[in-house]
Amino acid sequence: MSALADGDRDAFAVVFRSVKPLLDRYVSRLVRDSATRDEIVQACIIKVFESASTFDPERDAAAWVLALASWEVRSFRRDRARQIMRSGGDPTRVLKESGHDPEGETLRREIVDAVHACLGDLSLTDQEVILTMLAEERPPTPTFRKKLERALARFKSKWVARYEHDAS
Amino acid sequence: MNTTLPDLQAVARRAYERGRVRLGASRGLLTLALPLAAVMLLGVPVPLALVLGAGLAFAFGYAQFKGQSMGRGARMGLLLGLAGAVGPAIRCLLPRGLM
Repeated sequence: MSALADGDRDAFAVVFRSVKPLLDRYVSRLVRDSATRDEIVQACIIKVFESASTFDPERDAAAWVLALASWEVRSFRRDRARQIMRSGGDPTRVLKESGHDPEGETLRREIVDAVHACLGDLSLTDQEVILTMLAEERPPTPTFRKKLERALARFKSKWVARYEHDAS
Repeated sequence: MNTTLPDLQAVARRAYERGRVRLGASRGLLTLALPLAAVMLLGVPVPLALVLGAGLAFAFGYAQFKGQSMGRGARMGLLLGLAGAVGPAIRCLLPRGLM
């Protein structure tokens, strides 16, 4: 990797042969779905070779490659979570889609964390109303429905400000 | 996305060359500070500074893109050239009575 960073093109094939299996092993531990895995490995390879010229020879090459791969996996998950949230954002759908694979489980956890963070931005009254609705302890009064409607509108605007603005 | 190994290797190779081009361009652009300083501090004519600056930026950027001994040599050359230019530049900037 140091030779490649110095501009030695002859080192390319050797580095490729060592980096590819390393990334395959690492990504397959984190992602179960084979199509997604291939996509992430390809993105990682592009990232690693694009940044190879900036590699610091003092550093450990394997650790550097794996750090880039971790970043790519994280970015991929974040993008996928945003896509799902944008296309409806129904938590029950996300739960069904995530199934039992570890990647889906992480995605689900990230979405739940995002909802909690957004809920924390609301006033205590709004939080109470939404939590009551989620717990299905909803008193069927028009006043509650009105309060819920307002609380959800405020939640939506917080959500847009926090995530959709960031995603655009 | 089903990419064969040779395809992936070609993609990686293109990514590597892209990274080298970016490195060469960014380092080449940095050398543009020198003709700028020559014009602003030493009063070098702008057309001359433009021509020499562009030549330096291109040559230095290309050497960084190629890397290895050419890249190292260009960095050393730039450093030694700068060291050689600092003396006369200081002399030009100081008031005449001090020299």
